[in-house]
Amino acid sequence: MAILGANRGDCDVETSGKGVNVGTRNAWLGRTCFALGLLAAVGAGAAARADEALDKAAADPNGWAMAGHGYDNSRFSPLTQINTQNVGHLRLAYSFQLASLRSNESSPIVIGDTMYVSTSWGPKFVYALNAATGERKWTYEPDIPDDVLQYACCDVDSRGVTYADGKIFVGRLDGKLAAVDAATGKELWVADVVDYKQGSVITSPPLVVKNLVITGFGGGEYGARGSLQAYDIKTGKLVWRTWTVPGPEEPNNDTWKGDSWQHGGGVPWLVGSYDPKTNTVFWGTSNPAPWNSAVRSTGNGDYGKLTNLYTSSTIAFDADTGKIKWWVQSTPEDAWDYDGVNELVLADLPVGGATTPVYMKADRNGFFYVVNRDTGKIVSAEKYVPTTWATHIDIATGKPAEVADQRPGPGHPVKGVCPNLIGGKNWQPMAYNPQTRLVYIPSNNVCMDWSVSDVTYHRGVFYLGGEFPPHPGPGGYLGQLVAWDPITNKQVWGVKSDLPFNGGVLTTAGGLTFWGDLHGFFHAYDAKTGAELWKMQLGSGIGAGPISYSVGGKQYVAVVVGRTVSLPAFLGDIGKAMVAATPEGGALFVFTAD
Amino acid sequence: MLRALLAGLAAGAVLIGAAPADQPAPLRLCADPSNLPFSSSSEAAAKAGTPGLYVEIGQAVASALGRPMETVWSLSYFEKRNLRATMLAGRCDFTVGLPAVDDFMGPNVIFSRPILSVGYAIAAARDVRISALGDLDGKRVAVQFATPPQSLVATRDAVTAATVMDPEEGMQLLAQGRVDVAFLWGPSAGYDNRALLHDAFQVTPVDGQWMRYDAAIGFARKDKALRDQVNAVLPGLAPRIAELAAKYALPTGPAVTLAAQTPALAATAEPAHGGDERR
Repeated sequence: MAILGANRGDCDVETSGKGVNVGTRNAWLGRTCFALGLLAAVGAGAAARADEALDKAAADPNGWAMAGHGYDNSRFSPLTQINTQNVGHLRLAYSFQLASLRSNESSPIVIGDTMYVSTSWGPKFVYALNAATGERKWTYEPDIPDDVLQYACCDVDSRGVTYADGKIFVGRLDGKLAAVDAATGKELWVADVVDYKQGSVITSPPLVVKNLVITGFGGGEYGARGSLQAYDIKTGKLVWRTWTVPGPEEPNNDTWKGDSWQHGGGVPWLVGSYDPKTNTVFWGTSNPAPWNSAVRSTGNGDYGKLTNLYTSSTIAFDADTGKIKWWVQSTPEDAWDYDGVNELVLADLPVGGATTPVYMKADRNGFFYVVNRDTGKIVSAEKYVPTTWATHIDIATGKPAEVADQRPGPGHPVKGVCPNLIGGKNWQPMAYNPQTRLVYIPSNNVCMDWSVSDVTYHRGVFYLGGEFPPHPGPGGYLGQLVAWDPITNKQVWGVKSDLPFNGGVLTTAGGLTFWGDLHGFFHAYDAKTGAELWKMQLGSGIGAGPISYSVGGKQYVAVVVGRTVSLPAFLGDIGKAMVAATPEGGALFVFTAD
Repeated sequence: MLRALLAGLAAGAVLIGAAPADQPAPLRLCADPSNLPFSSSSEAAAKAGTPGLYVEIGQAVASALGRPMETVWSLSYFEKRNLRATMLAGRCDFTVGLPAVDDFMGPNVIFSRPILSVGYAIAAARDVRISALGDLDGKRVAVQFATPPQSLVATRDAVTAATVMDPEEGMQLLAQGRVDVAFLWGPSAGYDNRALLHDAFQVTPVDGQWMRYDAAIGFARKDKALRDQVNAVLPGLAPRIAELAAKYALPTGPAVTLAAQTPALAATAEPAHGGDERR
């Protein structure tokens, strides 16, 4: 009966107090409207005012207004000047050294004729460049403490910055959110979001909706309790905070055993999406903590109501208040490190004979979710990579049909579970092309064993580590750019790689799909067929998503390179190959066609 | 002439200062600057004569080898990452108090013979008797996030766990009467009990699966000769190490065995993100 309450119920009714959420017990899907830790009501006047500068930028077909192109995270550029006919003549327009090596994961943004790009290490720098020439306009060098690497679990990355209201917003590894003047780079305000010394860092750009700058943070493994937080665009003052792991006075706290909710993880550390029509912000949440699921649930998959909401989930928030409208939990009582953070790509798809507003999510758990974004009802959830831990997702309830002996737990090591903990897809962004109606997914094909390992060490205290030796997935490849039809749920074409964890994707109305790999090659494909039309070696592994824009009547394609360092350390010999493939790097390359 | 002689002496003095033959090179200890009872770089700790158990063991080792000691401070939030950036990068020579198992960063890290037995401990009022896991039933028990005691306690529905992020927080809960028992890392619980709580509680070592470990001194693989020198002096240092263990209030006495009915249920794990990177 998990669906109960998922798609019915008036928000006003469901806010009436404890116990009203009975209908959503045991719910992997659910719908309520309640405020979690609402700090301050947003003034109606302020909330009604959209940020005009951002709206204007987002409506400009020549620009790239947000990390994922727009609120929909489609990474689709409508520009056609560079196309299947001339992409073979792509040439370098300019390159720019980021002056910061390793783990450069930034998607630049382009507002008018200015590009804003962040570097790794804090970011160490944010640059404003003339987007046509690469000439530097200003440099912002935030005051990042030297010890941040100690606290950043998964490398010192920055995935980009956000523009609105004449400002550039920067989430930082030191747990702060900064606003700088977009014209000068001068720091305007800095807000404390989270204490990085608890292992929580900010690595992704915030989402600006109207007068609010919305951000999450990382550190789910290290005892953080997740929350999404909104700051006033002018002052940096906290406007609302919504806990993504509910406390005792909130609905669904009873999905946690004992006091485990206090350090339950579920952090929304990647990027959010926004649908203005319903004024809904969508964000994915990380896995729960600690990894021993017996501490927070039953430890054996027979979790009953102990599903650990809202971890490994997609949450729909009211943009003005932060109230949770509904959620879809993809991995209840997660035991595999299947974060649910992957970005939500919004599109209107013809399903069941009607145009349906959906979000699409290539979940780390190996299933590709198509969900009605107005209702939270699952349209489909099919495997897009080799996946062994569950046979299917019950789309009525959202409940995965788990495979016996594939759930690791206390005293229960497992072998050959796919995907491994980096997931069928990791943070690297996919792209959706409304013309081909295909989603281009930078996927991984890695499996793992899982067992308790020997002792490890944290500030003098010994404890036990998990051990999860990776294995190549079936078929003898480790990564694949998958062109996925989200309506028929079939792969249309694919490009295989001998390494996992390759770069993000860009697709364009010029019939092109761009993708960088960990060998440092930047490729252009025919978006329909997957035929490779162009490639170039850029000198270091590529993780970032490329972008495209037009300035002065000329279209450009840009990508940041500079491979990861920390992540391969989790992956044994596969990780060694990832590191050996290219040197560390840190550079922006911008191409055009004559 | 006199001037020339003085200049010569001055030059000689400079030379002598740099001469390794007369002044052995310092042994460089890798240590966390803010991690009592193990190590601290703070002036207050120095003034109190408690720079930390591992610092003082390091000094004893250096002194036995006839070498001065320097301390290279770096945070150990992710110890493996930290050791790669310090000891394995040649910035310091030895680390006291690492888990004495080859799987802990072996073969890049090599170990001395064990110097201490360390493990978890039960802190409680002196009239509270805990002799088996079942004795925790009905009690409020402070446990540190992601540690074996947290997992063990999770096997008992009748225990109310209070999860803390570090041992000091757990001992404070105990002192405030907000828990009945604190089931924490023994060296930390013992030290906090003495330094902060004036020995208000009894701290009893715990035995059982995942509860006790040998700690050793770690070196980079290339420093096998140094490791062998240290091994040679360690037997003679045993009394000094025991004295230091007592000074820092490491729990002593007979251990109480706490184990789950199904031993494997005590198994726990944390993902190796950062802290457990393997290369």
